[in-house]
Order: sequence, then C-alpha cells, then structure tokens
Amino acid sequence: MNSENKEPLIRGAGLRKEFGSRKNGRRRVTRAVDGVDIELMRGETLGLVGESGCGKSTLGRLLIRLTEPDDGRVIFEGEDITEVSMKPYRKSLQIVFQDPGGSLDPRMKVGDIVAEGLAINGIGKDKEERRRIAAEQLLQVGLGPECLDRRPRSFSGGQQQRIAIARALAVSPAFLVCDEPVSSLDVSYQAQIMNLLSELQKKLGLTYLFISHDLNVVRRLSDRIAVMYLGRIVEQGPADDICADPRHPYTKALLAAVPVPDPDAYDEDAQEASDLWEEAPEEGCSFLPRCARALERCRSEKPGLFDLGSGRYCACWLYEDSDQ
Amino acid sequence: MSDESLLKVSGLSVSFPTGRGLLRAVRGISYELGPGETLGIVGESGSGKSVSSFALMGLLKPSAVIEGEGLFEGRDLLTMSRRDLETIRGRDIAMIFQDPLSSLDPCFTISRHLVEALQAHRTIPRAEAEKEAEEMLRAAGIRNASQVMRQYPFELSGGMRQRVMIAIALLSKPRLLIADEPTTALDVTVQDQILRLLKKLRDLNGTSMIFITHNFGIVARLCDRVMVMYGGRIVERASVRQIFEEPVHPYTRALLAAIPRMDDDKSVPLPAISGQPYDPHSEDAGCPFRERCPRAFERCGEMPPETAVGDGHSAACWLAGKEAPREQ
Ligand SMILES: Nc1ncnc2c1ncn2[C@@H]1O[C@H](COP(=O)(O)OP(=O)(O)OP(=O)(O)O)[C@@H](O)[C@H]1O
Ligand SMILES: Nc1ncnc2c1ncn2[C@@H]1O[C@H](COP(=O)(O)OP(=O)(O)OP(=O)(O)O)[C@@H](O)[C@H]1O
Ligand SMILES: [Mg+2]
Ligand SMILES: [Mg+2]
Repeated sequence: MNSENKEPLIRGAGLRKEFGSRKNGRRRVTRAVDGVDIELMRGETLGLVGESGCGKSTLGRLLIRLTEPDDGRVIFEGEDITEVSMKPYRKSLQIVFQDPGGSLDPRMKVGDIVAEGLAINGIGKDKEERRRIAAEQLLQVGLGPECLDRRPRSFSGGQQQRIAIARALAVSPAFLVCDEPVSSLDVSYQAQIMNLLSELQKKLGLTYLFISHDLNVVRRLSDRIAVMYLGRIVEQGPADDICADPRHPYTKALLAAVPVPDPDAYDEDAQEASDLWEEAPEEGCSFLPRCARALERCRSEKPGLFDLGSGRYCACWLYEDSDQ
Repeated sequence: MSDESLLKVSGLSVSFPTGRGLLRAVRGISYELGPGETLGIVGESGSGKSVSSFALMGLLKPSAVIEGEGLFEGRDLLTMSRRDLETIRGRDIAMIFQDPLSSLDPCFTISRHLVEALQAHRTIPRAEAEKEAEEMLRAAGIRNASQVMRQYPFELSGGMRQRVMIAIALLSKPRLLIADEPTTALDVTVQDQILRLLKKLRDLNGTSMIFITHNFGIVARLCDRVMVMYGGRIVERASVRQIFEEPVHPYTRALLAAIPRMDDDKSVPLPAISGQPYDPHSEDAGCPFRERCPRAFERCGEMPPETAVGDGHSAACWLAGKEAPREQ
C-alpha cells in the first residue's frame, strides 16, 4: 500500500471507545477500541478478524460514525468528519449489521424496508420507481418478488441477512462496513454474496471493511487483513501473506483452528487445544495468558505495532528486531 | 435399528398460514437418531432446518400447522401434553440457540441461571446445585468459574456467554442435544474449544446430537451422519465420509463446490448455484431443485423417491444409482 501518493478513502486515527457499565455499585470499563489507526484505500477490501468481543463491530461503527469515539479522528475523502453532521455522508457510508433480525423493523414490509433507504437518500423519482429498484436489489441477493410484501420475522436467518445487504447496497455507498454479512448463510449464498460484493467493487469502485470469523471467506475477499485482539490491531498485512505466514501468536492460533472440510484432515490429538484465559492482565501484552512464546518483557510492557516491511505489521516483542 | 433409535421422526411437515396462502417450510421429512450418534443437518438457508427442530421442541407459534410424528424414546413429542413436553425439554432434550444473549435473562446472575436449570427438574439443595453448576462451568472451559457465577450476562464476552449456554444445556445430562449453529458467532479458537468440549461430553455421557450448521469443516470434524435439506425436504442422507467423497444429489454437489478453501485461486469466482431459490409457497409436485439443476429432465416434474445408493446412503433424485457416483 503506497500511501504517499494516494489518499485513503477513509481513515481512522487514534480511535478509542470505552463502554462503562454500573452494576451493584461497581463500575466496570471495557476498552472496546483501544487506540486504533486504520486506513482503507478506494476500491480496497480490508478484512477484519479477531476474538469475539475484541471490538471489531465497534471499530466498524466508529468509522462510519454510528458510534461516537471518545478520542481520535475519522477522515473521509481527506475531510475530517469527526464532528460534522452526518446527513450528507450517510448515503456514502453504509453498514450491513451483524444481527440482521435486530436491524430490520419487524412491522415493515421487506419491499418498504429497502425503499425507505432510497427515499431518505433521495433516490428514485416516485414510490413506484423505488419499489422497482427495491425489487431489483432483492433479486440480486436471491429474493424474488414474492418477498416484497412479507415482513422480516417470517424469513429465515440467512434470508434476513440478504434483505439487510440489499438495503445497504441499494443506495450505492462508497464505503460499506460488512459486519459478518455471510456467516449465517449456506455456502452457495455465501459464494453468491461474495461474488456480488466483488462484482460491485469492480464496477463501482466500492471500498469494504469486511468483518468475519471465517478466515477462508476473509482471505478470498480481502486485499489486506487486520487481526484484532482486545481492542487493538495486533497484526496487519496483505491477505495471502498473513494466511500463508502468520507472525503474531494469536494469528497463528486462529489459522491453526480453522476447521477443514475433509473428514480425514482433522487429527484431534495432533492439535493443541487453544488455551483460553478469560482475564487479560492489566499490564503487559493482552495475549500473554494464552501465549506459548511469551518473553519476560511481555509481562510488563505492551508491544507497539512493529513495521516488518512489505506492508506487514505485528504487535509482538518477538519481532522487535525486524522493526524497520 | 428402529428399536434402538432415540428419536424417530416420521412424515414431519410444518406450514405457516400467510397472506399468500400456506408457506410450506417442512414437507414431510423422516429420520432416526441412535444413542450417542451425531447427525449434521446442512442445506439451503430457508430450507426448514431450524423450523423442523423448533417443531419437535414445541417452540413454534400456535398458528403453525404441524403434521407427522416425532417419537422420543417411543413417546410422540408432537401430541404429548404441554407439561410432559416441558419436563422432557431441559431434562432429556436440550437446545443451544445461535444467539446466547437473547436466551439469557439480563437481570439474573449466571449462578441463578444454572441453579434454576438444575432445580427445574431435580430436587437438589441450593448449595449443592451451586457446586454442581460451578463444576459444569469449569468443564465448559471457564477457568474463573467462581467469579463468573456471580456475574451478569452482559459482563461476559460472546464466547463466554455461549459457553454458559452450553453449560446450562449440558447440566441436566440430556440424552439429546440440538445445536443450531452454536459456534457461528465465535472466533475459531473458541469454536475449537467448544467442539472439543461437545465431543468429550458425547463420549462421556453418550449424548446424541443434532448439529445444524453451514460449516462443512464442523460437519467433517464432528458428525457421524449428514442430512442435506432443500426446499423443506431431505434430498440426500449419508455418512460423513460418503457426503464428502461420493455426493450424489446435484444440489449436494453444487453445495460442496461452493465451499471456500484456504488453497483456492482467489481470482476464480466460487461457483454459486444460479437461478431462483425455491419458493416456500410452491405447490409444485416435482423435485424442488429441478429449476436450478444442470441435469434436470422431464421426469423431474414428478418428485423422485429416496433411492439407496450405498450403505446408509440415499438421495431423492431420479439419477441416483443410475450413474457412476463420482464424475467430473
Ligand atoms: N453498547 C455497548 N455497551 C456496553 N458494552 C459494549 C457495547 N457495545 C460493545 N460493548 C463491549 O465492547 C466490546 C467490543 O464489542 P464488539 O461488539 O465491538 O466486539 P466484536 O469484536 O464485534 O465481537 P463479536 O465477534 O462477538 O461480534 C465487548 O466487550 C462488548 O461487550
Ligand atoms: N414464524 C414464521 N412464519 C412464517 N414463515 C416462517 C416462520 N419461521 C420460518 N419461516 C419460513 O420457513 C422457512 C424455513 O425457515 P427456517 O428458519 O427453518 O430455515 P433454515 O433452514 O433454518 O435457514 P437458515 O439456514 O437461514 O437459518 C423459510 O422460508 C422461512 O421464511
Ligand atoms: Mg461484532
Ligand atoms: Mg436456521
């Protein structure tokens, strides 16, 4: 990624978000996003993977300002949009939510759900035209015209996800946060949606942040991959390089645990059970309790994101010497 | 075989009345599950996988029209009284849902969830129940179990909540566990740990499992047998090895071809199945896949019966057994 002569489409700098909750008089703070720098070039897909609860969805929401950061900036097309009104930008910055059921209004008909986004963003000259566009978008994700007048609750999980995708794509956004858009789909729809996303990207130059737990899917769609652990990016680099040669111990564990669709491929005893410790230490590297290669230093100091060259970065003391 | 089966489902159909007439979600499926056996259900999204399990568990809204029989240890789940069903549910049959947060009460501590689950079906003093609950949490891979017992659901990460749900489901040592995409929301290292746990408990207690999933990696790792569903019907059933090595039904083959793999060539698009998805309102009497099937011919206007092609392997396709099972 040559960022000197090319302006990123969207960039997050020093993004932070904490969630506080009070229960029984105790205050607990979750650092959902803990100082993240991230940038996406126009037409690029950045895959985002990481433990559940590590802050992936929160980071995606911060980038399109569905969640306000405690600290840090969001720059879109060179313009700082951290504090501006989002109205003129909403059409360009869209999201497909992780939980489709919760994001679709159960009282509305599916056709109206898709058409509503069009109306809000001034697309289509009248109701009829918007309904026609809605029908086209739904067909594109494999839902026929008989779906227009049904309500979301009467659809299966995978069907609801496709409705959410149709709604987001209908307004032709420049940047789309795809928050686990295919995890609830069968592999054929998964393939169809992935092909559709790639096609639209080629045709319209769309930029995606693609969040998923399925590394096979992420590798296929992404130009680069960022790996998150407890609020921070711990590894980042070109997708194929990360998958072929992971550096961070967490990325290694992730790739080793990908289930392979072959009854002969799995040998339980050969695999080491991944060791999960729930509490991350206050000090030192967050991954320490699960790490088999920890050094003395990892107990006291958090590693920075070292530049390993060729667009690769890794936050692990093992790579300090490779820092460029 | 039928004497030994724990669950025997025959001719199960589920329909929902809608503005456009009956939506026929499940169209007469039959299967058996033996003790200690793990059955995978895969298939098209919307093909009736969840609905068929919800129907057996009595979890559908009253307007749903359910037909057929679901014998659990010889007793029909579909006709027994609400009370009997509730006793069986949670004690003999447990279910893990995809979204753990929606099935945990935000106002109750984890301890209370577990203790209530235990006491619902057994008279057991509170202190003893708490001890047993904490042990189950530990077995489910939660190390700081005594602390987690005192916490509320929102204080736990997604992976921990899912393990709490699994602990609740397993507390009663169910004979049958139905898991509907229990690990989709988890990162693969946590998923790996949960699959290990389920395997361990299956080997220890002889629990039978129905595993609904889109992930063929999980099927390969965990399941003994697999059923493939399309349009509310079972179109193929086989051992896990047969499904991967000698798939027969054109839908199964198409599905397997669409799996993304680490060593794929990214520049070649994955072969998605073209054409329209099956309309669940359809009253058509033919094979549900024929509109999209590359090998459809005249006869497919009539629904093909399930044809045996091997030991425990059958497919509902007119071509089944009429050709070498593997070509390409
Ligand atoms: N609105 C909120 N209030 C309180 N805590 C929150 C809120 N949103 C997120 N969190 C917490 O912030 C952390 C990050 O959550 P986030 O949803 O971003 O994780 P994620 O990486 O998307 O996880 P998953 O893979 O499970 O979707 C978690 O610990 C979560 O519990
Ligand atoms: N409460 C309901 N009312 C009307 N139709 C419903 C209802 N619940 C499900 N359906 C329909 O029944 C069919 C089967 O749904 P089901 O949830 O079983 O699919 P599934 O195979 O589990 O799919 P997925 O893999 O996407 O979860 C779908 O066409 C769905 O739209
Ligand atoms: Mg998320
Ligand atoms: Mg389902």
